[in-house]
Amino acid sequence: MNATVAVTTMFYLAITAALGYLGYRQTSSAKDYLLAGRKVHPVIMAVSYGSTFISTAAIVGFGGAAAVFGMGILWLTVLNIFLGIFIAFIVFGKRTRGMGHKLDAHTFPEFLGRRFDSTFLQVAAAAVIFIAMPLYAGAVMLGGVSFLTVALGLSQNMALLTIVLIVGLYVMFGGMKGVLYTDAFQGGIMVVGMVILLWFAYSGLGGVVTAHEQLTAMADKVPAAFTGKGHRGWTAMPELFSPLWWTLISTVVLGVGIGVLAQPQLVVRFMTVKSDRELNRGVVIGGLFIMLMTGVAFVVGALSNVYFFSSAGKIAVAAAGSPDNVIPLFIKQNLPEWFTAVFMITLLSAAMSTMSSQFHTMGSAVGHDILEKGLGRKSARPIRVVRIAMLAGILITTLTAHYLPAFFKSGATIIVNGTALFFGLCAGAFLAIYALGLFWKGITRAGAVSGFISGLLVSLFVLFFVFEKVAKPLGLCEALFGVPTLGAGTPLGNIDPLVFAVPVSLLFAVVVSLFTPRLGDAHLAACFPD
Amino acid sequence: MLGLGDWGVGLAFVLTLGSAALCAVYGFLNWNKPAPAEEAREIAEEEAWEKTEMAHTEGERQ
Repeated sequence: MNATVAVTTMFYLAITAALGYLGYRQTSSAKDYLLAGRKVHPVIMAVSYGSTFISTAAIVGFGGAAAVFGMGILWLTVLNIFLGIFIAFIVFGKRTRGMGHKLDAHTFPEFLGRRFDSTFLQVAAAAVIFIAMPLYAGAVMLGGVSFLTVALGLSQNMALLTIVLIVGLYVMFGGMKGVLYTDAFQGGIMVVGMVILLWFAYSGLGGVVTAHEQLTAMADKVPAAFTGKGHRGWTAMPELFSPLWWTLISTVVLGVGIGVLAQPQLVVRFMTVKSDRELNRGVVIGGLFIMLMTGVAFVVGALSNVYFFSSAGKIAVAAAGSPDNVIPLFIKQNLPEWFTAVFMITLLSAAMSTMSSQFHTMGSAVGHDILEKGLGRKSARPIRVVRIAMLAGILITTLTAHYLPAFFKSGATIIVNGTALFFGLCAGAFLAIYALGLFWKGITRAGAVSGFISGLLVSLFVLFFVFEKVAKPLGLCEALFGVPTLGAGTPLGNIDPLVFAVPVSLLFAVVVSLFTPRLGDAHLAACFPD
Repeated sequence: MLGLGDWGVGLAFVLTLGSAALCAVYGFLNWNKPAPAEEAREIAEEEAWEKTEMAHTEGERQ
């Protein structure tokens, strides 16, 4: 254990805990606890949105993927910024804020339930979140744990306990304010870490264009296994419609790029600000933040091939052993020792800022949406109910994180798999009805319910039986049909579930709406801000 | 372009910077929007909403 890393980590954890306590001191009502009083500063909201969005998966997992795919993965950054920030804030965010306000919605499931006047949708959406999120949260938790074991020399179980206790306490007691304050601090650290990383990566190769030229010149070093799948070098797109192209475009770029629009833990951020002006201001910070996160991780991941080839005579993924090891090994070998401490904290921040919102979303889903609104269990102390539900969510996530490595045979892919699974499910179940609900007065309750159920079922089917990255390690398809995936030997196995689920959900929602009774004019007037 | 291998990646690189610039330009141009009248309406709505909310959670101090 490095003393500098240990001291820096302890210092970081102390500040995080103090900010969580500040959130606790400033929380007095359910509105504070669930939506931070709806008066959040735009910079804090935007950085919190970004740091929740970006977990260790985006930096280490997808940075490692960039070492394999090359800089074509920057299309994901384009989508992350344009769809995940610009369209999300300006188009979806403003409407969500106005409608959420009029409907007095505190959570994403409550937003859907009230928009479509359906308690079923509110409870079912909350159930999907509570059941599926522990896998995503567990995967992110494992990312944080792996760095805490290295930074503080703790055992796996001790690191798990430490991270759960700290994040759990500041979310349970600090509520949304605790989440936002710590997110802003952690997001600030992430910006510093990534800017330094980018500067070292480019300057070490003589500047931006020179660095790109060196990577372009390595096109003939691409292994035959990759060229056979359509790889054309790290600064060129894979061959059109090749297996690598499908994986890059559908799973990586579209799956994550579009999936972000329907993430419950992100959508709720739009309801924490008091006016559209905050969203206009937040978009400046959000766009720059995401560019510095995924943009830098992808550029550095791709450029690491030049570094590894000049030092070890191997391309990055061969030198590191697996894509997930590329970024950590690159930093260890090529950057000063002090930066290792900075980067550890950057990654710990990325993991903790995502986990905190996941805990908050799970707790509010059960406590607020299922128990209080769905089952009508009114409590004189609603915050206490959400806290108890959150504790249950944290315990389930911790157990999931503990058993995940044993469940998935290859530990290296856990973080990306858990993230992809949750993004796919949310996009399939929610994206179409959420978007239609925001902009189309003609969508009916039956249309929304059918869109939700069809999207969810298609997502689950494709995830469990077709999508190679999840179906294979899950083993359900193998057990039932004797093959690892029903899409084997076709491009289907590489296509993200969202590509099938969202159009199906959209189709069901629109067609059923055309043949079922519209929601009343009074209800629509109560939903739409104008 | 920029030392990159093909236009597909070059465009992605430029659009990465371009989309961040779009966010910045849009945000700065609309920094003080919506207009005061609209904001006043929103604040009035917020106050009405807050009264209802406080009525729900009155007496609760966690």
